[in-house]
Amino acid sequence: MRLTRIIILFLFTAILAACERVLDIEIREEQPVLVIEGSLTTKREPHTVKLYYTRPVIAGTAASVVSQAFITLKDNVGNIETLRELGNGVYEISNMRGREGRTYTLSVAFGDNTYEAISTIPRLSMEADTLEFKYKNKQLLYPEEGYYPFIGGQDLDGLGDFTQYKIFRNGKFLNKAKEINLFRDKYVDGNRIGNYELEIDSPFVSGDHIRIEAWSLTEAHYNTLADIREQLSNSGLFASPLPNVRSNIRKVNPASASVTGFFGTSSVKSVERYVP
Amino acid sequence: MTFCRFIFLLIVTSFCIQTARAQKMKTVSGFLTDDSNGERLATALVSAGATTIAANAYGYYSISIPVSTKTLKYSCLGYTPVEHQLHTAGDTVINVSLSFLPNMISEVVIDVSGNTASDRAAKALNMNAVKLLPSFLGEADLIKSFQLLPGVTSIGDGASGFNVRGGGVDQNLVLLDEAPLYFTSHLFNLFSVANPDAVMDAVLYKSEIPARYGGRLSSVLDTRLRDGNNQHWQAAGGIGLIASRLTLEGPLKKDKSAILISARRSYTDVITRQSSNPDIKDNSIYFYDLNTKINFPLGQKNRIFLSGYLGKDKIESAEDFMLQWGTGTGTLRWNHVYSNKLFSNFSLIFSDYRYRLGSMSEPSSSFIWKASIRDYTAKNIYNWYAGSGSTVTFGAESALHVFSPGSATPEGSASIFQPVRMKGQRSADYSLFWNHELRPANWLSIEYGARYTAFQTIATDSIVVYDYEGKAGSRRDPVNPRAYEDGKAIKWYHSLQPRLSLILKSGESSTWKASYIQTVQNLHLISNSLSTSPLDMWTPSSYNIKPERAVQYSVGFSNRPIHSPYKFSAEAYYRKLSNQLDFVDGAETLLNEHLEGDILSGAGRAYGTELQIERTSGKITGWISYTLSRTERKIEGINSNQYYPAKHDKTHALSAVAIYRMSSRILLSATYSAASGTPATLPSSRYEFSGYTVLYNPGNARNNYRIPSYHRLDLSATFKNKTKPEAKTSSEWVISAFNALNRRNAFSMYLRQKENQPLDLEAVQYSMLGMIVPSVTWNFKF
Repeated sequence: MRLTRIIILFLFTAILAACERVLDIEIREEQPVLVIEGSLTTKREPHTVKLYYTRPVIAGTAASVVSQAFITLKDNVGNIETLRELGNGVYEISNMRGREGRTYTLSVAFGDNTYEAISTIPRLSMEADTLEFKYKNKQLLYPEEGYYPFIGGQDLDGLGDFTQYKIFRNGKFLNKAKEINLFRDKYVDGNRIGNYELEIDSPFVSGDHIRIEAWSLTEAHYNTLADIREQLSNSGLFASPLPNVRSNIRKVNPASASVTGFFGTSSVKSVERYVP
Repeated sequence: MTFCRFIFLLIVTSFCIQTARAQKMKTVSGFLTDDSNGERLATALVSAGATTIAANAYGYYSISIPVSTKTLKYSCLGYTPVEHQLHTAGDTVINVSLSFLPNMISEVVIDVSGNTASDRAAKALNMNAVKLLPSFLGEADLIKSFQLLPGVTSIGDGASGFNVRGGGVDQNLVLLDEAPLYFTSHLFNLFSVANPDAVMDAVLYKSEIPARYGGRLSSVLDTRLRDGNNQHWQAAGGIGLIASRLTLEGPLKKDKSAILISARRSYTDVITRQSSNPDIKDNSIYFYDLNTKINFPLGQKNRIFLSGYLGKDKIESAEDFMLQWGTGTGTLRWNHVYSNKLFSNFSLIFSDYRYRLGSMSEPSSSFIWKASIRDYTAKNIYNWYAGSGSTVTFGAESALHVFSPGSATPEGSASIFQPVRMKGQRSADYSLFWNHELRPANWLSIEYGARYTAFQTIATDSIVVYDYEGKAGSRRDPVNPRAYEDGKAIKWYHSLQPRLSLILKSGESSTWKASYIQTVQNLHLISNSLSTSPLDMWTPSSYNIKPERAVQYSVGFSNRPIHSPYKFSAEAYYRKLSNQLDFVDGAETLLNEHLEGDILSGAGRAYGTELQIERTSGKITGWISYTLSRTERKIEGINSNQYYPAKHDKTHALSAVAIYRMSSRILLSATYSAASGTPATLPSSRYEFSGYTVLYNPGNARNNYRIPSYHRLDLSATFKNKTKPEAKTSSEWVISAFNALNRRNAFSMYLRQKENQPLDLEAVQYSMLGMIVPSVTWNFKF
């Protein structure tokens, strides 16, 4: 019936068709703040620590970096390593390898500024042991038709497991905020979890190569990633105030310049498949 | 304490004045009703010479006048005034019925002014007036109409509730026949729950809140349901694009008792089901309201009122998702006239708000999640007409609040979820109140009073209470656990809230007002979003959440030149708030057993000036109001611990309302609203971390930008069908255009990732209802 169609169109455009429009807005610049970004995992590859500054939110200027910092990494079984600067504010961890259960302390010093971050590599629970793709037609929950990824896994007994799933599509890391897929076992501890859907921005097509990396997280690391996701997917009627991303870097010398960032330690396993 | 001494002096003076005057007086009392349907006239006035008193909420009046007084004048805006000759020298009972002025329909019944006895700063809106204003999809909306008054705003189109003088939406006490409503919106905040056909009127108190009201900081919106026609049976209703209404009412016994049943239902779901598009066909969204009310007398001196409300919203998407929320209330009232000077009402009130959310898209992740808040209240209130325009209102109120903050249960055996049940909470409050209105002189009217509240949080089952320790501004950890047995009081809070207002008449046409009020709020809405959502739950003051408090000073002036259709009023206020709630970054407001560790609290202040010019008679009536205001919060851990504008702060707010009576059958109306943009938080910096873009907001700055300003024009035209003057049937067509300027008003502003370069950002504004929404409604009555 034509009339009903018109009314439907009306209601849904009026009620649901809330819209976004790009604004030209001048954002006041603030003093840049130091960011320390460190990562150590069980992956067999060199890991790095990066020191750089925040930059204006809209302008395309490159971030300035900190060179000639003195950075050490030690673990709780007596190993210690001084990081080697590769240049451009990037420092390499050459010898130490991440081991599940060990606790690592990252120390950074330059000028009068001294910082420290401590993190343990937690066990990996809910690693993806199955990866499936389900074809979904266009509907309210799936705005585009195509293949969507579902994983299965076993959560280990005992509360406090946190996992992140990083998705690589044809080798390209999916890095939109909504594609930060996080799992915690708060309400599902110890259960076998099947059909766990991962969020993606646009569906896969036949022939895509998909790799899913499961990263074990500390609770602090989980909170940090949840904050990053919240910051950029927090729109609309029920948006909450913009959160700052929580950091685990602490000043050793209280007079050190302001700092943010995170030193994350994870146990990583991956699964890969072609979309049928 | 100077304040107490001042009150004491007032009481002494007032009683001295009364004793001096209390000679050779007689008391006339009775009820005032509408002669066409027997509805009680709560806004009516009774005057004899210089003495004027207002009827109470049940249309009862009692006036003490010198025995020599020969005439009494009864009046009510919209009704033909009546003069009554007094033949006896002694006390007498006179019940009066007033006739509705048919031509007064265009008069917007707002702010019964010019008379000190009723010129409290309360703003009254009659539903007949609200129905004349343009509305969204033809559904007359009481709460949205109040937003056209000075000092009343909302965050934006689609936002739930309303903000009064910088207060949050949870700081308004919204009453429906005395029952508190905890969520006032239908269909994600597009409509309010008051069914236009069942509501008689509503009064908003924002400057002087009488002591009989308590429990919220900012305002009281007291909505009264109609009693029903006790003269003849009648049906009325309307058919609109989105919803239809039907009301049946009539006498159970003519002149004595009446029943009213009113229903409204949206048929959005019926429309969607007709669709051939499976996207739309499988989704269903609708709401309904059901109001019933019965009133009958018990002998000469008693009357019983029984009213109930049930409202629900239901949203379903195929077999995947379901969300329902709804309110149920019930009020039993017993009016009793003890003597011609003492009237009482005893009420038993029930109110329940609950929601259910279900996810069924995957058997493995299916769950049903429920939460609710339920109130049981008993209230006894007395009006004592002490004479010479002096009225004392006193009484007691006690309420039990039962909270179920949330439980989630897995659906089906395949669900991976474990059942989660948040510990229930209970609290009780016990209040005594006293309010005295008096007129020591013709030019002076005083109202003073106080409300004392004892509030108690009670352990439910066996509960563990913690202290919370940690860095200011970030999540605090539970320490020092203590167990409480079921029924034990965890914490008591006591408060004495003085209220005072003075009204001075200067000359024939001008009035000055001043008021001081203190208010306390012990129930807090846990909401960390721009608009409150139906899923937000309430929590009581407890060991770690202290009562919110406010002190407000206001002064005002109004002038209505004699024989002029215009009235001008101005008011300024300053409000100081404490224990205002906010949340840490990353706060979990739902299903969080350590919610108190995520709550921040701090101070607030709000100040402003409200101006209004009204035209209350003539072919064109309406008003223009303007508010200049600021609302700020100061909370440790936010905005470098400095004051910042609250999310609903609007520097300028302008409303214009015009109703033009073109002919006896055609009525046009327009409303225009303009306001400064509400605040938004944008970060100054960013960095790339692990491949993601991260925003950085130094000092946790809050609300450091403003969204673009707001403008909206709504238009409406009512065409009445031709009827004979004595005919009982009538009907009308209402055509309206919401957002006639077709503007995309911003609701919020934020940064998003660019579609093809997720590491780069752009600023965007988000708009609700970004288009003109026309509608047509047919209303009937027979």
